[in-house]
Formats: sequence, structure tokens, C-alpha cells
Amino acid sequence: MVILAVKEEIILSALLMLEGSSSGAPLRKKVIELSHKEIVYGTLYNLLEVLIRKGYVTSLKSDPTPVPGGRSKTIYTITSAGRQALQDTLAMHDRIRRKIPGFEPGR
Amino acid sequence: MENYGGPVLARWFLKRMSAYTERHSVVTDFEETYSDIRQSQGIFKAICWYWMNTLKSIPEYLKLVITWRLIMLSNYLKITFRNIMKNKLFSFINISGLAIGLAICLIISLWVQRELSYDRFHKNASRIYRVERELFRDNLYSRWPIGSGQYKQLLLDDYPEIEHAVRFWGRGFAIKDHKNFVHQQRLYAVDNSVFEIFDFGLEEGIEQTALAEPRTLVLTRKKAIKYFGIDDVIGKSLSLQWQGKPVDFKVTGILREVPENSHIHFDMLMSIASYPDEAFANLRGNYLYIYVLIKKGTSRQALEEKLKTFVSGRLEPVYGDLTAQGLGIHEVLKMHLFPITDIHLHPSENWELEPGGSVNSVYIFSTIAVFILILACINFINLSTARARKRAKEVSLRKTIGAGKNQLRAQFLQESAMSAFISLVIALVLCFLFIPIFNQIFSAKLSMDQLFQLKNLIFLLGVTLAAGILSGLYPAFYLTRFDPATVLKGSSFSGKSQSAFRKNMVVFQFVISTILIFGMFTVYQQMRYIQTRSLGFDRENVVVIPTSSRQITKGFDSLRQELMQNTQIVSVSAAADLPGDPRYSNGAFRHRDLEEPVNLIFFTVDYDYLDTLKLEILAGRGFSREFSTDAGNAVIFNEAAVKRFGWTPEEAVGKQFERGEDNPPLKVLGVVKDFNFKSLHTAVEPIVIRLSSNAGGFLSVRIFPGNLEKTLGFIQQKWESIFSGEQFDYSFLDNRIQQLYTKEKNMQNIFVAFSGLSILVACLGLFGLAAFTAEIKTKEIGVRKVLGASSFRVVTLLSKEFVRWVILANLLAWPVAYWLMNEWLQNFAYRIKMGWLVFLVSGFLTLCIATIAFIFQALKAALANPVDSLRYE
Repeated sequence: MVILAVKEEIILSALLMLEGSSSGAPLRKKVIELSHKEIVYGTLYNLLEVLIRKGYVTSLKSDPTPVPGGRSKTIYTITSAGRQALQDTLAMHDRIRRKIPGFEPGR
Repeated sequence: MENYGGPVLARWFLKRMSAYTERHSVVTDFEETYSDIRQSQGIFKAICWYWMNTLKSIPEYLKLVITWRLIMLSNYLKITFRNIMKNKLFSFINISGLAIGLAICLIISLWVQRELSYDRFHKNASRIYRVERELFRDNLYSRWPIGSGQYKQLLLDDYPEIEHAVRFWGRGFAIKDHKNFVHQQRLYAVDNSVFEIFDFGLEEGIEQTALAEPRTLVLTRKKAIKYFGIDDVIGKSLSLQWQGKPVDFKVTGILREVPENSHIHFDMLMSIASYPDEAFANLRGNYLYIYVLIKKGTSRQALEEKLKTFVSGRLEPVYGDLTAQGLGIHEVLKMHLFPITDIHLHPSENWELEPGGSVNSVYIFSTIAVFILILACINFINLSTARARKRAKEVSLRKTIGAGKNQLRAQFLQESAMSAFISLVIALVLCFLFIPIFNQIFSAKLSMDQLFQLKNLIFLLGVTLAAGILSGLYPAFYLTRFDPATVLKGSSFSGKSQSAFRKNMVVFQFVISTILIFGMFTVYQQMRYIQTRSLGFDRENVVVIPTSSRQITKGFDSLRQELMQNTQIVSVSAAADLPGDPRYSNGAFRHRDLEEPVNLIFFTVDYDYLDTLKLEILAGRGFSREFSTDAGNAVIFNEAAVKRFGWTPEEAVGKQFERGEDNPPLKVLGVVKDFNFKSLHTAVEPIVIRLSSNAGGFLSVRIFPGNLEKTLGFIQQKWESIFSGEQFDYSFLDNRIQQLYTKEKNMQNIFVAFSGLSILVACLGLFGLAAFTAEIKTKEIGVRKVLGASSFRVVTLLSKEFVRWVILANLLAWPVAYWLMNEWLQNFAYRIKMGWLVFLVSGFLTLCIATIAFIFQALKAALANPVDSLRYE
């Protein structure tokens, strides 16, 4: 069982909320929305590098946008290992909350 | 073209972060968010955001890059380590060669540092000078580091640029310790300004006044314990034998130990004020050393120029005779300010305080160190390129999966740097082992502590890194040049140019080795020549005992008569001057037949001196007690002196020299054959031997060989019965003369040690190359053997190339070595001729050693069973 670091957890959650894959800008927006904190792109990329190396996320360059001089975007997709790791982590959160009086889920 | 906008400059920054643009779409992402913000919050906010985020991303980016680098580094380290383990022989040769090179380089640089550090520990070192004079008389040049006691005050009076001046007057005294034992102690009488000029300093006591009063002295803690038994001695008094009677001196301070790297050493100082002013009355006296501290901002040249007025104003009146030859005083006598930091490496030949070092050996040592390091680096380069074949596949594979040239180069450089660092560790261990041996052979005083100073550690890391990178540079560029397709297809690439490069390197190594062997051999021959050449006197079996003139007047005659009773003793004489003792004075001799006076070196001796040293008389006779006129009026010349006057020895006998109205003329009694009283570096100079019955200095006793201990015991017993309480400190004349050649002896040791090591390093390289060649040719040898070649032919085949290299190296090395050694031999007035023998020997030796290095590999290859070799691969 793998327990993710909090920042990794947030990114994976954000990716799942964006239907499992997203490019950088919407992902960043989602992460800020979830964590209520600004995040610099550099930090985001570094975290994504870690997740890619661990095999929880894959990255792919999309086809260039269909306009002259159009640029390609990098699309990040969560892998099944990533889903599993997130599931495990969230399950752990649940377990913890159930055991601490006053922190029970659903409140 | 799509354009989301955003500040151009910030975008330029973003694009520099290559990992983000390659693996992530940083610019697109930024612009998307930028246009979002512009729409919702306005352009100003958007630009601010863009900039803030760009700048904040830079540290993040650096973090990423560093992480990747570390990951790559660990990979390279792993590969390096595997390579080392895979090729144990090559790695051993590589690393040990470099380790030896580094260790030598280290030890030598420590030594050089030490030599250069002399007298630099004084805070004012750059402003302290010794006042010296140079005397140019027609045929004799002499440097006089000593002068008269009056100089100090005269200099201070005349030249405001001089801040302080101090005199050092070295004298021996008999001192009684707390157990009533009498010791001979050498101490310097100094001015109190010694503490203002130098940093010798006191551990206890007040530096400002310690030596201001007459009859005060300071001494080191060790001496305090020796004389008092305790070290709490301030205020106590010590009894010195002062002009025949005991005088109490008050101890006013405890002196710090003088550092090893000082040109002057002492453990006791007394106030020069203890002497009455009359002691310094003679402005022409030469007996003490004067040091001055010049004011900040004063230039030495300017002050030396001004000192000319000292020569003409103060010295000319008393040195009137020097200008008698019609020369200006400035042409004959010069004042010098000699920087104290230079004294150690440029000691005066005459009257120096302590034997100094030599600049030449500093140069020679450093050159050899650099050469050996180069040899070791060459080994590394050679073996790495030789191994290129094996590494080529790895390199090509890395290239095909996307490694850039620069990355590969970095990998090789890292690899060689790492080998260098492993060598460094081994080198440090070697240093630790060798420093004591080095100290013993070269009578040096190095320690490991010296190594662990910051600047040395930086130097060490620098040299190691440089050696690693330099030796990795060629393989790095060479190996990354291959076309991966050809290499992976399996075709070989033995490339002619590559082996030519290696050949040049090996030849270069052997050139250096040959030069060193050549040097070693020449130095050895010259040293043997020096030690066996007849010096014109018999240096064997002469016991020398230092004496003072007071002892001579007191009891020399009775001592001589007592000693002559012993049948083991041939003759006894006293003299102020002995061969090999560099304290000679000179003076002008004018004969009425000649216009020019001739300057002669004085030898002041007693009767029997000529017999004791076995000097050969060419004409006339020696001093004799039977002629009362000999005393005071007779002199003996040497051949060189006679030649200066333009006479033959026979003509010279009986010539007379006028000495003014009051004195009877000096008569030449005889002429002795030239004898080498200085080292063989200089030709024999003209001397005049004068008779003086109270010539203090040395007692020389010629004895019969054998029964040495008994004879010495007899001399000591007689000595002590006549001069009770005086120190009996004998030495042998031949040993004293040996000491003239300490530098050369050291040089010889250096050559032996370092030519040996350099050959070892070169042979390690050759051994590796031979192993490699044999490996490449395994198949060829197998085929040849199957076809009927004998083992001998195979060995010849493999060795031919190496032999050719070594011979070529010899041919290249000979002229250089000949020229270098010829230069060195110019230092000697008496030297060997370099014959063809030395060429042959050096050639033969290098060839033999090289053969030993590669013959083993060649034999192994030649004796291998062809079945095995052909099955290989």
C-alpha cells in the first residue's frame, strides 16, 4: 500500500476531477481550487516529474492546435497505479477521521 | 500564428528552462493562464502574474536540474566502479601510477614550500634586511654579511628611513649550571630592538626592556631547565665566564623557541650593552651581523643608492688602502641590504650563520615533480585510449539511446576525476609512509601536519582535479568521436593515428626517464670524483678540535708536548684557518717589482701545520722553530699566488715585501703546491700562509690509523688535564670536507630516488600497453603458431615495436641530458668529462628496464596454447 504525500494527493485528485487527464493550465486552476493556495508552475512541473517517475502519471504531447504556428500542449493522464495510490491514501484519511472524536466523516 | 501575448522578456526566460519546454508545455500553459487573468482581472494584474510566476519558477527549475544531475552522477559512479573492478590490472596501473605521481608531487611541494617559507614568519619580514658588503678586489670577490658594531648607530644617525637596527654578535661562553657543571654555550649579544624588528619574542618578561640593561640575558625554557633545573627563572642570575672571570647575568625573560625555518637559531641572547663601547671602536672590524627594519614605503633600491654616501663618507676613511689601486671606492666596496627572506636560499659563501639551501635544488625538485606527474597522466591517457576498443561499445550504446556528446564527455571526465581521487587517497597514505624516509635521506623536516593546512588542501584538490581532468580529456574527446553505427556493427577500428599518439606518449615517458638516469649517472660519477680526487693535502686521519686563542696562549705548547709523547700521534698544530671552513679573510700584497698589488687569502697557522696536513712544498721550506726569524716575518705562498705575481716557485723564494718603516719586510719562505681549501666548485685561489703562535681556531692532530678510540681517549684526557672544564668537541677533517658537498649529496639521492620512481611509473605504463597489445594480437599469435612460428619469433614480433620506441627515446634524450648535465657540471671548477660510457649505460639501462616490463606479457602471449587463443571470442 502506498501513501502519497499531500501535494501529490492534491494533484492526483485534481486530475481525477478533470476526468483523468488535463493539460497544465486547467490542472493548475483545479489544484488552486482544491488547496486554496497559489501554486507556481515550476513547483507543479517538479511534482509532476516526481509522479511521472513513480509511474502514477503519464505525459503526452498533444497534436498541435489546428492553426498556423499552433503549439502542442502536454497532456497529463493518471495511470491505474495512480488511481490505486490515491484510493489507498484517501482510505487512510477516512480511517484516521473515524478514529478521532469530533473529526468523523460526514460532519 | 497563435498569440496569447504576455511579456516578451519573461517568455524568453521561460524558454531557457529547457526541461520545462521539452517535457512540459510551459509557454502554452503560462499564456493560457495569462489570458484568463487578463480577461477577469485586467492586463496589469496579468503581466504581474506572468512575471511573478516566471521568477518563482527559476529556483524550482534549478532544484529539478540538480536532482537529475545527482541521479545521473550516481549512475556514472556505478559505471566507473564497475569499470575499475572489471579491469583490475589496468585500474591498478592507472591508479597506482597516478598515486605515485601525486605522492611525489605532494612531498616535493611540501619541501619547496618549506624552503620558500624561511624567515617569512616575521610580521615585518618584507622590510627586514641584513646589512652586507661586497668587496671587489682585482682577482677576489667576497661577500661580507658581517660588519663592525659601529655601523648600527651610524646607519640610524644617517638614514631616517631605517626604523630600527639590531646587532647579532655570536660568541661562545662557558656557563656553570646548578650542578656546577660547565657547559660551552654559544649565544648572541643583541640590542633590545631585536624584539621590535623580529618576531622571535618572549614567552615571559617584558620585551621593551628585557635586554636594555648591561648584564642581562634571556633564554628558552629548555635552557632554563638545563642551567637552573627549574623554569621559573626570571630575576635569577646565571654565572658566565666573562673575559676570564665569572660574571653574573640577570635573567629577564623566557625566550620563545626559534622556528625551524629561520636562517638564524639561538636559545640564549644577552644584552650587547654588556660590552663597553670600546669593544666596538674599530670601524673596520668584521665580527657581527646587522639587521635593519626600514620604514614602510621605503624602497630598497633607493636606500641602497643612498648608502653609497655611507661607503664614501664613513667607510672610505678607514678603507683607504682599497682605493690605492686607483679605483673609486664605489667600484671596490658596495653596501647591500639583503632581504632576510632570501638569505636561506642565497647564503653567503663566507661567514654565513648557518648552512643554507639552494635555489637550484628548488628548481630541480619542482621540475622533477612536474615531470613525474606528467608521466603518470600519460599512463592514464595511454591506457584509457588503449581500452577505447572495449569502451567504444558502451559509448555507442549510450549514444544510440540518446546520450549527447557533452554528456558522454562529462561522464569520462567524471570517471577520470574519480580515479584521480582514489589515487589521491592512496597518495596520502604513501606520503604518510614516505615523509619519514624523505626526511632521513634529505635531512629535511617535513610533517604531515603541514599538509593539512587550508592552502595545501586546496592545492591538493586542485592538482588532483587538474590531473584527473587533463588525463580524461583526450579519452573523452577521442571516444565520443566514433560513429555508433560502425562500432555496433562490429567492425574494428584500430586506427593508425591512435597508436601513433600512444607511441609518442611512451617515447616521451622514456625520454624523461633516460634524462633522469643520465643525470643520476653523471651526478654519481662527479660525486665519486670529488670524494676521491687528491686535494693537495691528506684529509684522512686528522682530528680537528675547535679552540679559542685564549686556550692556545694558555696551554697549547704543553698540550702539544704531552700529545707528541704518544706514538700514535704524528703531529699537532694549531691554526685559525682550515680547509673546508668557509671563513677566510684576504688582503692586498704589493711588491716593488709590480705595479698592481695582488690580493691574497690569509691562512693563519702555527708551526707544523704543513706537516699535519701533509702539504707538499715545491720550493724553499716550511716554518721551523729552529729559525727565530720565521716568527712574524716569514710567509709561504701557494702556486696560484706565485703565478699571480708572475714568478716561478723557485724565483718566489726569498722575495721580500716592504711593510713600512717600522716593520721588517715580509720574506717568502717557501711555496706549497696548490691545495683545494674551498670546495671543488671553485678553482684554487692565491693564498698566503702566515705564522702566528697564538692562532686560535682549530687544533689539528694527525694520528696513525687504527686504534682510533684509544688515541682519541688519550687526546681527550690530556686536553681535559690542561684545559680543565673546556669542552672537547672533536671532528675529523675528512668529515668536515664532506660537508661542503651536502647539497650535491642530496642531489645524488634525489636523482636516484626520483629517476627510480619515474622509471617505475613509465614501466607501469609500458607493462599495461604490452598487456593490451598482447591481448589484441591473441588471434594473430594463435594463427602464427599454428602455421609454425616459434615462441621466440612471437616474442620478437611483440617486442620489436617497444624496443624501437625505447631506442628512439634514448636518441632524443641524449642531447638534452648532455646539455643539462654539462650546465650542472659548470658549477664545479674540477669536473669529470662526460664520455660515451654514460650514454651507453643510460641507453642500456632504459632498454633493460623496459624489456623487463614488457617481456613478461610477450612471453605469456607467446607460450599460450594456440587452441585457447583461437577459441577466444
